[in-house]
Amino acid sequence: MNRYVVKRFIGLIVVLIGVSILSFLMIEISGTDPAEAIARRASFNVTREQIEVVRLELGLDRPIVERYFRWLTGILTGDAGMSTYSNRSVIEDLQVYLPVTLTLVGLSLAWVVLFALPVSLVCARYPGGILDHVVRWLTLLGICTPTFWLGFMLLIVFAVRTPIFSVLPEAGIKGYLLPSLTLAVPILSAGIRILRGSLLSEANRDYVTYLKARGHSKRDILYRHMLPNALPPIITLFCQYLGYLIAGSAVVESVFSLKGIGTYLVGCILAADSTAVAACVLIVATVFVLANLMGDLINRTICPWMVRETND
Amino acid sequence: MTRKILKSPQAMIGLALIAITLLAAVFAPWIVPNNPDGVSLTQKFKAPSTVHPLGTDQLGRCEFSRLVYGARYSLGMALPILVILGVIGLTLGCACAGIGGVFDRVVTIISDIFIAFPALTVVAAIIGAWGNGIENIVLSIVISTWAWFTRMVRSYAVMEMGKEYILGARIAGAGTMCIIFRHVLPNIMPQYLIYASTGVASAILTVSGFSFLGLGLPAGTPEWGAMLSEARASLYSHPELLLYPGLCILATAAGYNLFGEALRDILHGGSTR
Repeated sequence: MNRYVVKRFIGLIVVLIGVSILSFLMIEISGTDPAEAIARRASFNVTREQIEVVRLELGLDRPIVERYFRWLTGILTGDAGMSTYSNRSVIEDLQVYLPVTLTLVGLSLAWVVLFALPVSLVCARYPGGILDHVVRWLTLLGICTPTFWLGFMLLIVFAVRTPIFSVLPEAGIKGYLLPSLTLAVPILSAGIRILRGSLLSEANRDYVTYLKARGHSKRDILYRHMLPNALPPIITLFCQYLGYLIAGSAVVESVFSLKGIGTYLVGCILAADSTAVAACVLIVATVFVLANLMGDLINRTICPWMVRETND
Repeated sequence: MTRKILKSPQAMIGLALIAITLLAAVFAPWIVPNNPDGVSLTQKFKAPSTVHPLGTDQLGRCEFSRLVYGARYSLGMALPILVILGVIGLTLGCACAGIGGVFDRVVTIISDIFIAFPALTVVAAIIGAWGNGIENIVLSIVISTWAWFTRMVRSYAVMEMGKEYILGARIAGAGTMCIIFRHVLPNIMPQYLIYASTGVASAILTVSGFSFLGLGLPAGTPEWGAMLSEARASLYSHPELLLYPGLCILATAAGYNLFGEALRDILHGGSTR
């Protein structure tokens, strides 16, 4: 186990270095000249000399490797540069926008946990039943539904036709209910399908036959034995989505006019603000890598048999 | 196999949906009753009639004609993406399984790095660098998804390479190339088709999501995501304009998902059904 953790951490560092290099290269290939962008912020009519002065001041004439290390140390010490989109430092922007997205993502993951477990357990208890069929078709629709469309449909039904919610963002948790539900539906559907599938494939294992022969109740077998064994795939999925949701929330934030990291990122893209884009991209990618590692470590803790099967 | 597909209602519904959208995309100019870009401000928000089967939108353009043309954009982007991903994924995945060693390790680490970037972040970089355009959207989805395809093909190919019949082929004197092309590829193909089929569905959703956000396509393009975004101002007055494009995306994505899943049930004996 310990050797595995060490190995994973070395792998993590290699991947994170790669991720940071790629994020930095995004500024480089973006074609916008940061020196010019910063000089233009001060005044509209800038001369070539003024741009060159800014370039020298900020060290943008240095070789690319040196700039990469300066950029990385900057980010690690809490200085990700200035955003030309908002005219503030990127870190300040993130402090404003990140909490909105994290609340949204956190709530939608709560929906997933709240519904995925009981629904898939009931489906696995009575496979082929009416509920199982209904859930199967509903979840299929769920994974095919574009989230932005679902968001609008929820708005039409619950804000326009029957005004329980407001179309414009509301303060407090109520304003997050519809957006988080919208964001949760595809993952919830995928989650139920995967958990149900892995529960049913556990049902064919020898240990289940043995437990039945020993006289354990169906409930006991399902909750105490099959469920823990069926959890790893859904934990992996859950952790993969944790990272993806932060970027995926852009669409939902746009529908519900929430000011989160997603709308900020899109705004920065459209304003060609490569400094802010690179910082956002680095954060999203890092969250994804860390969430994945977390998922693997949780899986190995609750399912020690995986250690034997992967052989390290 | 073909008989089983024909007998499965789910596969047939999926195939029918795929066929309808493909036909709509190919024969769009002959199907539509009106010019999809024909703006006519006197005709805006018209109710459905024989001239405009689904009425008109906020600029008086025929909604039905625009929806039919929308299939061209969705499939026109999703299918090329799938072909490119298939070539990259199958080549690299099989190469990893066949060559192994350092090559395999390096490709695995590189794909681990690329997997960390969701499509939106890649699209951010590419559109920032080269501007809007269909080919840039295709490129960024390929960059953000190739690693998933490669990883998937690699895991199936490695599993196949470990089977006894491959050892038998080796003892009989077959080379690595021969084993990969004659034995591994045909045997992982069904698994790959399932993955690819659901891959098209998610590519369609991603592409429409980007155009909804205004990334990739010029304003006024009859693409489903973009149409939804333009119709959002009519949320109170004409919600049906928001309903139609979403249903089209849903039906198209559902076609590929239904077919892919039916295929999986047929192959795996319905255990995950």
